[in-house]
Amino acid sequence: MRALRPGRARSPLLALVAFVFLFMYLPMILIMVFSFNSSQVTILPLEHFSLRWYQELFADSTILDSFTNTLVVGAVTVVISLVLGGTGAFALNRLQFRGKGVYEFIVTMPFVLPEIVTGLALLTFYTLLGIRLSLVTVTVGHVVFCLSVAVRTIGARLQSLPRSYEEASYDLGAGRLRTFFLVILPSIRTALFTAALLIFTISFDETVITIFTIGQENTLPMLIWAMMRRGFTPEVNAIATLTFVASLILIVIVGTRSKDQV
Amino acid sequence: MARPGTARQRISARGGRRLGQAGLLAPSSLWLAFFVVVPISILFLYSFWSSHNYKLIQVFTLANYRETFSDAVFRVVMWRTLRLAFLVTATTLVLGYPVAYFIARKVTQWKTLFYLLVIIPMWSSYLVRVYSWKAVLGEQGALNLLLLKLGILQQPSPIFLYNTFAVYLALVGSILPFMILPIYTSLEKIPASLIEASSDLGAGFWRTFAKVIFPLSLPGMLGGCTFTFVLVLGDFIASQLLGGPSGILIGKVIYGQFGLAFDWPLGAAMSFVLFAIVFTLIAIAGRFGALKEG
Amino acid sequence: MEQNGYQLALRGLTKVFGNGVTAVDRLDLSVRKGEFLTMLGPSGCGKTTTLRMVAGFETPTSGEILCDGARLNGVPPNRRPVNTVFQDYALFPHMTVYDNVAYGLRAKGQPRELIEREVGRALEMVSLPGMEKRLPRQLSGGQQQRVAVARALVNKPSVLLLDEPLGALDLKLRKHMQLVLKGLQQELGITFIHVTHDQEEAMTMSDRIAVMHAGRLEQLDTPEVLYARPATAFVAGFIGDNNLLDCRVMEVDADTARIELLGTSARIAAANVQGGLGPGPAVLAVRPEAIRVAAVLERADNVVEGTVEQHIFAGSEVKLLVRCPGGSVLANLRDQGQFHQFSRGDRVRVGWQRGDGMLLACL
Repeated sequence: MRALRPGRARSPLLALVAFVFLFMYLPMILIMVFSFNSSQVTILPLEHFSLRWYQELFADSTILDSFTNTLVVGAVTVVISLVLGGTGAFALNRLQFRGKGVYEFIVTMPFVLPEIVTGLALLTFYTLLGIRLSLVTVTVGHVVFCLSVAVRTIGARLQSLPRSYEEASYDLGAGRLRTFFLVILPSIRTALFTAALLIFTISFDETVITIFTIGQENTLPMLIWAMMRRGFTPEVNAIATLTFVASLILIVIVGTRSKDQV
Repeated sequence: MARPGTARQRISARGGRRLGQAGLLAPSSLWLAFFVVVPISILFLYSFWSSHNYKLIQVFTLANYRETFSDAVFRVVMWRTLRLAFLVTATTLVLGYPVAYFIARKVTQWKTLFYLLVIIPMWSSYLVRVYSWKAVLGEQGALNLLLLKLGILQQPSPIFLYNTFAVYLALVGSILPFMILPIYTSLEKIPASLIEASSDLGAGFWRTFAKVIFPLSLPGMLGGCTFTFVLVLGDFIASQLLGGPSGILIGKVIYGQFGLAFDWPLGAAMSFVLFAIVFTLIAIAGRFGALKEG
Repeated sequence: MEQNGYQLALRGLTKVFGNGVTAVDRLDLSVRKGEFLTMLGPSGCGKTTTLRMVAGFETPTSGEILCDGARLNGVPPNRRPVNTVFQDYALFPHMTVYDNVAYGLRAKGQPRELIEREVGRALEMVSLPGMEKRLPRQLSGGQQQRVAVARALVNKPSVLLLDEPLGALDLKLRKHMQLVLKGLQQELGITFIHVTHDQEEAMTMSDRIAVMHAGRLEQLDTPEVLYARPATAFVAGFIGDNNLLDCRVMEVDADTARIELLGTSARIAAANVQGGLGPGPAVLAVRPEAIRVAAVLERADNVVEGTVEQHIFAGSEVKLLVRCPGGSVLANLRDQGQFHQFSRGDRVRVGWQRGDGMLLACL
């Protein structure tokens, strides 16, 4: 049964797969190619290969500032999400309590709901309470969105962790704290790392919720959004390329290390 | 495990442990209560107020909902959005299933590579990927360049962009990974022995696919379809960037209420209607175990 | 249609995997019609790979598989007159018991009335009447196993392949199922090819056993012959308890072989010497029940002095482990009375007759 065993796929299937991957990647590849265009006008093949737009990007202080802001927001989001998500995952894994289903549902909700709803809810919330919009309000929004990633990634690892390691630790006389730091934490290290990278990537690219919760400062996606609404220019292509490549690197790192957790 | 100490010490230790364990739940629960439950409630609250001269009037009224359900524009856009959601879901399903099948069952050595190729777009900027379709459909895009080169066009044409079809293409291209991954996960979980058993019992490829493989991949399919559908319903980026005047989706209308129109209560009502629809869909799909995948 | 009375014949069957491992090495094996044959061996010996090649899930690197005279090489699994009971049962989790058992018949397009009848009969045959509407996850391990058997047998295959079907069951259930399967086979008269690493199981169920090791066939015989006259040191050590004593062959003539072991010399009947064995290192395999123990042993062909090292009480059997110069000998005592006669440290003599025990080449 050739078709049932891993082996050479039949050519129609191969063709379809190739087409789909092309469909997914071609636009982005074009952007990357155009970003090296020396002139403002797009032509193929490129007239001259040029790094001009990238140079302009790196010289632009607005862009550098928003980049820094994005990094800071991302890092803080990661830390808060890991702490909140980690404790939540432990609670789900160890405790039996009546609201478990409800809790899980509320955690997952912001991730599956349209970001626009989440963003607007937070906006009305801040406005009604008179909270000024800033990078802090943005970070809160990011954490809300990413919490489920932390809970799910760490939770999955906790589930597959044999209880006997912990029990052996207690049996040998260690207390809860020592057991946590010497036995449990090392075992979930990979999950923490994966969750951290994923959350950082999400936060780095997060646009919709940010639009509604940001104040005067900018994050990179906000800048990109503004630039994109103005038109199709090589500068936008350059920054789009950079963003995409950054995500690509992060995801490759995560994807090759822990395939099952992504 | 025998612990030293009197019974009372042990009982209070147990109580202390329970407190400590409840302490595990507190941080995230507080956060969720304060930053998810409360904001959603406030959004709900807003939907019953009204706005006049850029001032919020906190008087209970059902006017917003009435307007939402009766306004012709909203209904047209809602219908368009729903229809588009169906189309995008159907297209990504038809295109994505074979790819998921291919990676799950027909690739051995390069599996990680293909897997990465699927998840990289998934986790990278949605904004950038949607925007990138301008490079294909725009006046300076690849399609126009190709048609110019072939002599079919004399001048670049603007018709490919700023309409619903452009939004459709961009959404399909950008959401495909979200359909492929859950189906792939479902297919991967099918034990090889089931396929061998089917063959052993005399079934050819198509019977095995129809009776064994396809049914067992349904949870993944359901998860992928739900996620895709919801993504389209809630999208406003594709609509804003590529939709133009004819490709307006719900997301953009809602967004508009919070911009120049400054009718937050109306926007809130519309958001809440969207929220209710999505919530219902997810609840139904969750019933069928769709949320377990991907 | 048979070929020389054999239903299934494997000729020079070889399987070399992509990583260079030779799982099956020029295997020649013939299975008689209606027999219960077991392929027995440790993990990695090639028995499962051979089974999968017969089923069609692995392609032989070289060699032939003939069933009822027809060449099976290249025929896809769904067109072979062979059905398999899988190690993990492979019951379709989303189908009822009825749909599972009916699957093969439906694939052949059989009419509904026939299917109903046959499925009912198959389920009765495995003592699971009335379970049609259940889902696999609602059944116990033993019940699932029986459904898997019913699902395969309902198609009336020429040969039924069983891939370690009882491995996941607990001991009592396992022993029960061994007899059930054996009874089923005898009643139906279908050729069964069974794969296991449990030699006791093989001995209980099989008409003949093919002992395999490192991809090769060590010996193909009935359980009695395998037990009494193992052909190689591997078989001797694998089947049942056995003393494998290192020795040195001094000379072999028409009547007797003279060997040196455990600090003394012994004589073995020539009929018990592996063909082609000459002077040099060898292995003597003597069953513990052939060893007699006494403080003073008079009437035995071969006698060795030793010290009792361990008492072993195993319910129905009592044994002594006796340390002799150069090795230890395990002896089955005749009865419990003898058991209490000896204690650790006692000096005893162990003995066996020249007709007991096989002289075999070293592993």
